Amino acid sequence: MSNVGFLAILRRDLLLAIRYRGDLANPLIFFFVVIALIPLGLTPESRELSEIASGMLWIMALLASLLSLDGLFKDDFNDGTLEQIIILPQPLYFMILAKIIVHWMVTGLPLSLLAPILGMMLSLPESGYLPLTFSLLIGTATLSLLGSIGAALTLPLNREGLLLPLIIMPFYMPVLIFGSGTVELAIDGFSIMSPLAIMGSFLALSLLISPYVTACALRLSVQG
Amino acid sequence: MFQFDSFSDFIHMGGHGQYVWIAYFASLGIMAWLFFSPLLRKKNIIKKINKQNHCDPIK
Amino acid sequence: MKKLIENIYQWFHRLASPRWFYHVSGKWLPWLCVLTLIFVSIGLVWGLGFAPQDSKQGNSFRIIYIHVPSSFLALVGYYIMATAGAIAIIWKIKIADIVMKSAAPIGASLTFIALFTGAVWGKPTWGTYWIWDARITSMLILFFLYLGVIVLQKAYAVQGLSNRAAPLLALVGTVNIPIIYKSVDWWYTLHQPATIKFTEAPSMHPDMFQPLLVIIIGFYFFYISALIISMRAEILYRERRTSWVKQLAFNARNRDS
Repeated sequence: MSNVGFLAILRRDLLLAIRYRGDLANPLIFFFVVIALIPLGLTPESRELSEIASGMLWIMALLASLLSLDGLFKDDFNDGTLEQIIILPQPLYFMILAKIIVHWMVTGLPLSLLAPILGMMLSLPESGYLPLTFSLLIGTATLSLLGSIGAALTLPLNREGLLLPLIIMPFYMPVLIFGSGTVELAIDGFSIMSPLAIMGSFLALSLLISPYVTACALRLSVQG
Repeated sequence: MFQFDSFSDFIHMGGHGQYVWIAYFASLGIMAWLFFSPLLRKKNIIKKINKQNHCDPIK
Repeated sequence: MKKLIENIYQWFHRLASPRWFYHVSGKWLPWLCVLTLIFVSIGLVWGLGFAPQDSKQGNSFRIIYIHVPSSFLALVGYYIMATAGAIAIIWKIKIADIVMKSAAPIGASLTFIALFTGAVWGKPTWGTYWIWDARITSMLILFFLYLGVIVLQKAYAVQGLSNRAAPLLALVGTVNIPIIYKSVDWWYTLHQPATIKFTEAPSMHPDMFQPLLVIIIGFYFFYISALIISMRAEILYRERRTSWVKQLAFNARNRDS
C-alpha cells in the first residue's frame, strides 16, 4: 500500500526536476566554479594541491549539498502541496524518503560520478579516485538525509539566510571527517574498509532516523 | 601550605600570571554576567508592568 | 512508600505551574546562591593558592580549576536543555520550554569559557593559543550546536511562532554528540599518529584533585542558580498579563517606595 504513494512522489519529484533542468545543474556548476577558486586562491602547484585535494573536494561537496537543500520542501510548502502530502494515509516517512532520494539523485549522485574529473583538476593522486567516488556516494546520501531535517526545521522562517547551514553543520562534520579520511587513507596506501563501513553505518542510522525526525518537524511546521 | 612566598609572587605565578589571571577574570566575569543580567531583566519587567498599570491598581 | 512516590509526583506536577515554580524557587534561590558562593570560592582559593604546582606546566595548570568544571557543565547543560525541550514538545509543559530557553545561553557561555580558558592555558604550555586537538575541536562543535539551537529559537520567536523546532534540533544534537566526539577522536589519530593529548589534565595528585572536586560541585550550584534566576525573569515576562504577576509587581513597587 505504501509503495503506491512512495512511487508517486518519486515520479512526481523526478518529473519536476527534469522539467526544471536549470535547477538541477546549479549545484554542479557551483562545484566546478569553486574548484577553480582553490588554485586561484592558494597555489597552482600540483604537489601542494594534491595534499589538500581530498579534503577540499569533500568540503565542496558538502557546501553544494547544503546550498541545494533549500528547495527540498519550500516549493511544496508555498503552494500547499506539502500539507496534502502530510495528510495522506500513507506513512509520511516514505513520502519524505522519496523526496530525499530524488534530491540525492539530482545533487549527490552526479557529483560523486563526476568526482574523478574534479579530482584530476586538483591533482588528486589516482589512488584516490575510486575511494573518493565511493565515499561521496555514501556520504552525499547521508548529507541529503541529514539536511532534510534542517530544511524542515527552517521551513516556516521567512528570512533564513544562512540559518539552515548554521544548524546543520555540526551534523555534517562527522560525515566530512570520515569521508575525506577515507580518501586520505587510500592515498596513503591503507585499506579503506573500516572508514567506509563507518560511513555505511552513518547512512544506515540516518536512513532510520532522518525521515522520521523530518516528518515530525514538517508536521510541526505546517501546523502554523 | 600556601604555595607562594609573598603576595606579589602569587600575582606573578612564576611567570604565568597574565595567563592565569586573564583566564580567571574573564571566566568569572562571564559567570557574573550570567547571574546578574537576568536579575536586571526581572527588575525591568516589573518596572514596565507597573508603568502599564499605574492608573489601575489591583483591588 | 507508595505515598512517598505519590507525593513526589504531585510535587513535580505542581512545579509545572509557572506561578508555583516562581514562589518555590524564590524560597530556595538565596540558599542556592550562598552554596554557590561557598563552594566556588573555597575551590578557587584552594586551587589558586594551596594546591601544589605541576612539575611540567608550572602554575599555568591552575587554569584547570575553571576549564574542567566549565567543560563538564557545558556538556551536561546541553543534555539538560535537550531533555527540557523534549518534555516541552511531547507533554506540552510550559515550564519545560522556559527551562530550555534559559539553559541555552548558560550552556553556550560555559562552552565559551571552556574554549577561552583552554586557549589561554595553551599559550604558556604549548606556545600557541589555538590547537586543533580532539578535545578542543569537540568542544568547538558543541559550541556550534548550542549556537544553532539559540539562533533557531530566536528566529522562531522573532516571527511570533511557538518554539517547537529548537527542541527537535536539540534532541537530534544529543544523538550527535557522542558521534562527534568519537569522529573527532578518530580524525585526530588519523593525522597525529603520536597521540599526544594536548588538553589532557596533568597526572593528578590528590592534592590537586580535591579542590577540583569542590569547584565542580560549586559550578553545579552555579548552573542551577543561574538557571533559576533566568527562569524567574522569563516567567514574569510570559505571565505578565496575569493577575498574580500584576499583584507581585504592585507589591514590589510599594515595598520599594
